[in-house]
Amino acid sequence: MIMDDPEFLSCGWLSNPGPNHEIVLSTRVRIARNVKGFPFSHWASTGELARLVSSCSAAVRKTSLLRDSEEIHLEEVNDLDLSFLRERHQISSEMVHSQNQRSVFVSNDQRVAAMVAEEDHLRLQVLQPGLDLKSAWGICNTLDDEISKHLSFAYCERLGYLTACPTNVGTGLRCSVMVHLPALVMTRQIQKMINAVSQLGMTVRGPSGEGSEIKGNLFQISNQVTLGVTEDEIIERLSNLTEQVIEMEAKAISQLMDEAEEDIEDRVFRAYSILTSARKLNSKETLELLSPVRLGIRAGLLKEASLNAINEVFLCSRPAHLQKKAGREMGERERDIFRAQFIRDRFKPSAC
Amino acid sequence: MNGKKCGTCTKPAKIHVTQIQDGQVMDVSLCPECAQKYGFMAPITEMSVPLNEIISGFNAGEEAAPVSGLPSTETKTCPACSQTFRGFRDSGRLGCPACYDAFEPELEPLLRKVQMGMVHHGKTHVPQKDETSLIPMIQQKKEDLRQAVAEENFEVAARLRDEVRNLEKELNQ
Ligand SMILES: [Zn+2]
Ligand SMILES: [Zn+2]
Repeated sequence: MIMDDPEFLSCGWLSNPGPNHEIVLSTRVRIARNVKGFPFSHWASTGELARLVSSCSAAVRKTSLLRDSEEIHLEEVNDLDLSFLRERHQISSEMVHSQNQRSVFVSNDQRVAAMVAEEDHLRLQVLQPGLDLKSAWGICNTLDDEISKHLSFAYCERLGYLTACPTNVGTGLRCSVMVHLPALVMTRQIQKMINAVSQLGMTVRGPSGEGSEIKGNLFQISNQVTLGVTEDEIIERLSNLTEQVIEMEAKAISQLMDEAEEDIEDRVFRAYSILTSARKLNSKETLELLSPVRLGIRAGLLKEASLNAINEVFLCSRPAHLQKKAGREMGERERDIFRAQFIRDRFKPSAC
Repeated sequence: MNGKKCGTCTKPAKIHVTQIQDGQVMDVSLCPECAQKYGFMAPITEMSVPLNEIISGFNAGEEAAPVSGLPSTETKTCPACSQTFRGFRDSGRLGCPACYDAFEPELEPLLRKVQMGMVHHGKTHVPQKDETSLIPMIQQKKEDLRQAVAEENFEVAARLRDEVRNLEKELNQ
């Protein structure tokens, strides 16, 4: 079964360096589509949902990108697998709670996914390492074109693609980038950045959309507006904005290095020592340690570890990823021990 | 970190930040209020899309002055799927694509608030006329039609019968 395939479970796609990968961990693009003539998923009867799922699945199967992909039926997988897919953003939190008839197609390289009977009938998603909105949108657009040959979508000239929630109507396009901004946080410029971004029709939030808690200085920037703009405008605006944020963060790093190099160095190496020698690490502490280590690599202070390894550890040290790696369910204590072991192995000089 | 108090007041600290002052790196622990006050954290409304708040709050003003004789916004119902506007406000989800027409005046202020324009500028979708796209829809309507007849809901049945005819015409074109 695919959910036990080591290839599928690996985070290989994230560890390939993408454009601007010093600051941008990953890019995600997804579009929402609904089939004409049906109520939205949450409002559909069991019979309607079954017909919807079969016509969506048949259309997905006809695309060149997902023809050979594995279809994961959510009612057939266990809670751990659901959390794993959730950590990877291949299902939404809503799908974790209602798996009835829902399924997700994931390409062999894990970058392309089609989620069926989500909030919208069909959500197509492409992940890329680094800042790569254009190519991610290109792939997503092609997939949409191919599926459009076999399905009529709910669409009208005035409002574009009609979605279950009016915040997605129009293009149905949501793009986001995951950025690591420790220097903006340390130099207290993060608030300024967040204010500026929200004035441009974009949103900033902490990772996994869990409200506003800042974890490991990782932030997700995404477009809020989907109607009244073209897909290319959304992509271009978010790309330009992210480039400005990258510039701000890079400047903040130089400022930190000019004003307090020894202090930064001290923090970086302390974090690195704990990370590579601790015998127990919980997820929160791991994120807090990974952040200065990542900063140290970017600032050229730490040559022992690579950014690719760090990016991979950011995702793969999360609870469900660890348990899938171990091949069994683990309690918190066992997980923390396993996590510390996994990180020590990953940062062995030979592994980088 | 547990039990640590805010550096400027006495509330429990929730946010731990690092700052640079006079070339010294310092760790500071703050409660959420102070963190926000001193610019370490954005107010929650700016950090995420307060979607439910927008949806449930945007009509509050209109409700104060209901137009007598007209169905109130709350109970307005989509004729195609019977989702109510109230149901939409509570769940944040419309019932079907036709809800956009049914609730057009009610949705307008929301769209003005969260979107950049009122008209789609993006990709155009050319409806497909091949079998795979129309057949499931026709099957669905026929199924609904059977049910409407069984329930002696003849008004709905008549509408569905016309829709099936039109779709079949479209398919055979
Ligand atoms: Zn305080
Ligand atoms: Zn409706």
